[in-house]
Order: sequence, then structure tokens, then C-alpha cells
Amino acid sequence: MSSAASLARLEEDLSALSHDESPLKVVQDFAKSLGKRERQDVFNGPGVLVRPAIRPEDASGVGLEVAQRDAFVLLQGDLIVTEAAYFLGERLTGTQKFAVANSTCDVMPNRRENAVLFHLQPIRASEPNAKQLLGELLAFGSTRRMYLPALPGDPSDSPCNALNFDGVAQIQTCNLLTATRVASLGLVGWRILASMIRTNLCRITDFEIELRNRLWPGQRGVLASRG
Amino acid sequence: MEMQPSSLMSLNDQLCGPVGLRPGPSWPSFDKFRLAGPAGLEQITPGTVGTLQIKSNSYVILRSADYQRLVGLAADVERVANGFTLVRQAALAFASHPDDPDVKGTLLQAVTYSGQSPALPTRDQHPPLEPEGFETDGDDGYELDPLRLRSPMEGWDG
Repeated sequence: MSSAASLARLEEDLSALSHDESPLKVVQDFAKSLGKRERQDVFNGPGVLVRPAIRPEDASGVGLEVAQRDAFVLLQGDLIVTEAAYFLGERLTGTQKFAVANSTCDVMPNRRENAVLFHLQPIRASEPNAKQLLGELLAFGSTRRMYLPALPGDPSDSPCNALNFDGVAQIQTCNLLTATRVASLGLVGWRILASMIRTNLCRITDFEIELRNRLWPGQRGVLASRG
Repeated sequence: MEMQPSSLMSLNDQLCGPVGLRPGPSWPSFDKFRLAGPAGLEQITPGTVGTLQIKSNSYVILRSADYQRLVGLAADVERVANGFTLVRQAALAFASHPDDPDVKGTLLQAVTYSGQSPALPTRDQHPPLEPEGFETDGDDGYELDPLRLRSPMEGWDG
């Protein structure tokens, strides 16, 4: 197989994986299958989207030995409080909450220098658009926001949070590792987060696919041979 | 458990300084700390620092919000230090070459730059979210009162 043909095969193999948006569609369909009040009950359930912060001893408790190289301080998706995060040059104060965006292995000690966070915004019942915001969040119809339940330390009139993907905050990993862990994501929450991150960073249109295909010299010959 | 005498509390309040921390309870041994129980830790109110002495080692105990505030301030120190370094280097260059107009100009620019940002910018909240307006199955039927909602932490007592 020529290198051009093998590259074309590589692209074809990747095309179904690299920018796949189907996970978010799966979540949307699931949410739609539930009644509105049921959505709140299901997604607020213990361990579904959110659970108490997972500790290394929790791993031992379920029969998983944590090797020294895998010793974690926090996990991807952990919901933390810090005042050492920055957004467009401003330090974010006021004990705001954030979700850890990086993969768990990249936020272990002595690995990467910096990490990425997404900030949480509590929705307050007193806001004029509270119901509409809640409805949009629980439909999981937005690529910009993800529904999360109310968390310890949230305002007393807050029924939920919006995890905001419009803009990322930065933090040095050394400061992230001493942040206050409020909660971890449950298994479903972690998978939805990963789907949302992927959708936000790797969403494409048919136009872009066609543009890049037509501008790729190696593809022209293969397209011609396919007829 | 040792407590600060009440007569010293007003003096201690004046000693907060820019970091805003005051001395709180102190325990001379782990056993006294253990015997004090949760009530002992509750003496460490926001803005106070507890001290625990175990043999030759001394430990401080803070509320997590106070600790995160300190970490945030420490993170900003590096940004401030970079500005001071620039001004200092420009001043040293000017002292060595006082007649060089380019060096003088650099010093003036460094001082002006640092002077324009007397306080490093911070933000304690984000603008309120606006609905995106995409189609949903309507807003009615949702519960806004958090007391009537399940909590993902129910059954967890820490």
C-alpha cells in the first residue's frame, strides 16, 4: 500500500472517531426520555453526575491497588475551590468553583506545569431567567453549558449550577493540587464531561470536512481512484 | 485547649495586616487537640489561625477558604515581582548610563507601566448567564427550591 493510500486509510479510520458528536446526542435523547421533574431527580441522584470527592483509599476500598505511579491527588472533573486560577489576565477570587478539565494522569504531581479549568456558575432561583436556564441545562441541548446539581457551599437559593465551557481558566498545577476539593464527578457525569469537552474542542461541519478534503493534496489522487 | 485571653482579642484584631489572619486557638499537644474534638476546631473561625504543637513540630490549621485566599495571593506575588524586576533593572541601567536617552526612556516606560497597574486585576464573579433560546420542551414543571430537590451528597456525612 502506498503511503498516500495508507494516509487516506488513516484519515478514513480517524474520521469516525476524532470529531464524533454522537455522545452528546445520546445524553440529549436520554434527558428527553424523562419527565422534567424526573430529570432533576435522576441527574441529582447520589453518584450520578456528582459524588463526594474520591480518595485513594476509596480505590483500595473497592479492591483497586493504587500503584505509586498512579497515586492521585485529584481527578479529571473534580469540582474544586481555588483563588489561584486566572482568566484573561484576571485572578479569579471569591471562592469560585471550577471543574478540572485535564485528564487525571496529567494533573498528577510532577507531570504537567499547568492545567485548564472550566468555571461553575450557580443559578439562583431569584434570577428572572432561572426556569428557562434550568430547562435548557436539563435538556443538555447546549454545547456551552453542562448541568450540575447544587453543591456544598452554593448560595442557599441555588437549585443547580451551570458548568461553563465558554472560556477556560488557567492554573499552575502546583496550586491546583492544593485546591479545596468539593466533589468528584460520578461515572455518568465524568463521561458527559468528556463528551462536552470533546464536542466543544472538536465540533465540525460538513463544510469544513469538504474544505479540508479538497485542499489535501494526498487525498486528491485517492479520491480520483475511488471514482 | 488554650484560648486567647479575651483582653487581648481587640489587640489581635488590629494585627490582621494585609493577609487578614488573626491568631486563634492553640493546642500544646495532639492529645489536647484530640480531646477538644470538633468543638475545638469550630473555634477556628474564618480569618483565624489555630496552632497545634506536636513535640518539636508546629502546625497551623486554617479554614479552607482562608487557605485558598493565601494561595491566590501568593500566586500574584510572582506577577508583582516581575514588574519590580523590570523597574529595578531599568534603574540600574540608568545609573550606569545617565546620559543615554534610550536608557532613560526605558526607565520611564518601566515606571509608567508598573504605575498603571497598582493593583493586579481580579474578578470575583462572572456576568449572569442568559438563556441561549434553543428549543426545549418548556420551562414549567421544574423545581427551583433546592430544599425540595435531591442532593448528590445525601447520605454522606463526611
